[in-house]
Amino acid sequence: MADRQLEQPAILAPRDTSADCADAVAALVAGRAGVVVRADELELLPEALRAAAAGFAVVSTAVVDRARAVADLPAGERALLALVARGEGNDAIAAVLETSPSSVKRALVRLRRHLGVDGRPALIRAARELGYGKGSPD
Amino acid sequence: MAAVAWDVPTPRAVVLDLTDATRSAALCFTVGRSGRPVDDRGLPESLVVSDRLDRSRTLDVLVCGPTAVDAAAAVAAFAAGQARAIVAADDPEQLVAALAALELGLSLVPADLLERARAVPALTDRQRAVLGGVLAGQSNAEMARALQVRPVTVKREVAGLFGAFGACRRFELMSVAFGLGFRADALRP
Repeated sequence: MADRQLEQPAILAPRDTSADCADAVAALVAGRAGVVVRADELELLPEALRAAAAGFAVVSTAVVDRARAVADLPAGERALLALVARGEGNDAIAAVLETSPSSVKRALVRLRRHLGVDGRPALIRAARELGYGKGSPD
Repeated sequence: MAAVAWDVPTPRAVVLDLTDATRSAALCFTVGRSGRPVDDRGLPESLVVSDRLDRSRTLDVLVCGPTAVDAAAAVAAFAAGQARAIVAADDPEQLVAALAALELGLSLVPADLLERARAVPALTDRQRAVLGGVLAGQSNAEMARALQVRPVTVKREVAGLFGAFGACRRFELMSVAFGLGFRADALRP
């Protein structure tokens, strides 16, 4: 997604997963979207557009709350989670993130501790439950 | 307490004034300094809820101080799911709008506040410490002693700060950083 300022509020409708909601909140904070509501909350749209016209960036509270499961992870670790969920090996992940396999290994230890899981299969399952690795846009 | 005359119905309003708490901006409450009315019911003189923000709880409304550094701290708290709405301390209308929106299930951040927050470069812990030293007028040698690192390390961090703030001289770095709202005493490790 291009990093640009939009004249009109761009509307994002993330799926109801922590992964998508966290990405949408990040886009809102970065100014790449003005309104974020889930596709099943379109009844909020008129009020949201009114607030956007009044100078606010608007996101439905349900999206903020859903994003919270991964919101305190740095963006880099969320990217890592997406790659892990797709079943990539450490070497492949390191190549994509332009870092060393040992850094990936260290980061994975942190992620496992954060999510409270043991071992790679459990980490992959946890990441997929959060919505990672299921046809993510990138 | 006579001050708590302002009865907010469902969304619990918690007022956080970042101006007086830049050091751990997102963690400390101070007395809401806004004694001005927001609607005909009026805002109480002091809206103290707690003097510590419980990290496990989400604030409904976070009231942000005027500087870009305040805005960046508030937006970081929002992005981390610690607040559902942000309003500027100097705009009571925004508080009214935010409370109404929360009632409907919408979270708000003023767009201009997001833009102000983006002007603040992301700094590492060590860069913050070195910036604190620069703003306090310390020399590289003094900072190296205080931070227990080699002078060449301090030099490298200062060069990194020049890049982050788009400055090429020390006084320029200081003026840009002060302008954004950084303060030496708030950056001490």
